[in-house]
Amino acid sequence: MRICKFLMVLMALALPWNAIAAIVIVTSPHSALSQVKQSQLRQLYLRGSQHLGEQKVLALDLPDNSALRDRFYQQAVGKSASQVKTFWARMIFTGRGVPPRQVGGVSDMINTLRHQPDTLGYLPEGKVPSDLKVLMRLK
Amino acid sequence: MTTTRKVVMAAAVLLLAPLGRAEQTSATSLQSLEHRLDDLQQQLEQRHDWSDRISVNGFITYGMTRHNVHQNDVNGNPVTYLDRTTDQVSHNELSRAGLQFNATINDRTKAVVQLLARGRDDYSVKAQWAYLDYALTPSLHVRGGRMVLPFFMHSQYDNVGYAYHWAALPDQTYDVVPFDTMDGMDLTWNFSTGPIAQRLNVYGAAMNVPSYSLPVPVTYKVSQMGGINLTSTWQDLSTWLSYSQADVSLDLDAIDPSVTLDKAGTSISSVGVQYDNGSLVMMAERTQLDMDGWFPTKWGGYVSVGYRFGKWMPHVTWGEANSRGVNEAAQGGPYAQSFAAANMVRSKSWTFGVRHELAPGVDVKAEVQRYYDFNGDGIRTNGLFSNVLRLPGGINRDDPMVYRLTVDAAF
Repeated sequence: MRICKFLMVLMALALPWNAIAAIVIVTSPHSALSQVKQSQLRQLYLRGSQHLGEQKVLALDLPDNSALRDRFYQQAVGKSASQVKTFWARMIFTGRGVPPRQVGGVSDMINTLRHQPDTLGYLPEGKVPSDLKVLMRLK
Repeated sequence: MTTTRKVVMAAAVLLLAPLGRAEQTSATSLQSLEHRLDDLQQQLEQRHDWSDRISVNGFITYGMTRHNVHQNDVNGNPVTYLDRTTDQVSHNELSRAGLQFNATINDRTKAVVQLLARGRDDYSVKAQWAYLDYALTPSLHVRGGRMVLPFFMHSQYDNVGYAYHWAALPDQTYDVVPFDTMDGMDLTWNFSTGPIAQRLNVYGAAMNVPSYSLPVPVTYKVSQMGGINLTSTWQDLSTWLSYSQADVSLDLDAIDPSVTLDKAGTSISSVGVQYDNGSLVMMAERTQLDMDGWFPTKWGGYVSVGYRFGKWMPHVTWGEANSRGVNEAAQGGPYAQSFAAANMVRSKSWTFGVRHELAPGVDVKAEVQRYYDFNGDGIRTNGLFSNVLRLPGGINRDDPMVYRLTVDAAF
């Protein structure tokens, strides 16, 4: 019985960690992209690039106050939300680029990805609809 | 036909059918409904296009500043820091607001206009940036129009307080050159060498620069200006190299023809490094301004270290500015010597500050900067306080300080 309780406590402790879903990079089902590299994510999300090679790609972002966004930037490009905000302040006001388009939230991200073939975004792994194309799973 | 459209048409049919008019209207009404839907869809697309093609960004800073030198100059006016700030709190010296409009004209062309209103200019609006950008290739852009000069590492976002951790950029470097915009063109090439992202920029420009450092207001005519700069970024580390040169003319024939500057060769250079791993922030830069004639050679630099503890970031900066050329100027006669003296800079300083992130895009910053070492090597200055022509006896306290408090936002 005591072992049982101990295991239950352990599981309860482990739960919040399990609850944090992995982040996946997704694109429209009609996109010509079949994979994406971490260096390309840096290109799209930190340099404001709208192309990967010859392919036009419009990166989508979640709102500033999203916890998923904070985790995405940390995992995808190794920057904190505050670093990213400062970085874009420098880029925008010197005309070096514009940040990825921000959508209203996860469901808005899914809708935009569905209807605009050039777009690319990120979602929690558990919330990816079957009709979207997963390009990469962040570690 | 989109799903929305199908649903709207189905709903229209359902609404019309119970009225018993389905048969007579199905052909004509559906056709007119379709036309209306076409119009609405077109309008929606146009609106969508418009918001996709034009974006507006802005920044604002509200700041307070004063110094602690409670003295008057030879004219009985309070001693100033950077010719403006006194020992009374100023609410407009650091305060400013900017609005930027970005318009995408087509896939390759965009127009950017950034309007700036500074408290110290009584909020009169001027175009800080106004240029057309044409992408020759996705990584090679040419721009023409009004732009901010890329002399130093942080020059081009000097007015965007949110873009750096200080309440004001290090003055011994960033307040030595009294002008910031150019009218001309530049070419920027983004490329990679292995894991290093590079941005190479070359520019050409001309401008007139008013100056108030001499006893009478004068205008420096800057021609044949050109420069090159390279930003290299590898992970959390970024380096900056820049070199610019120009011919500078200043007509002082009415005073003494020997002090007139006629296309005096001038160069401005800078080398800098930045590191930011999310917690530790380090920056260092060394800059130099060389001009032929009586104008002194000035150089400046700083080293800054900060550390983020959550939303708080305390930081410390050591800065220095110095001049050379006092002996050469003395050979040019009394006017040359006097003008050179008015343009000399020499000081060292420690700046202690803290930045607090109030919300994404909003911060509050407080800092105090203490100056020392104004004289030496044959140079006598009052640092960046009222110059020796205005305050010949020097500053009568050994701990002159400038205090700053700002709130910045970028949106």
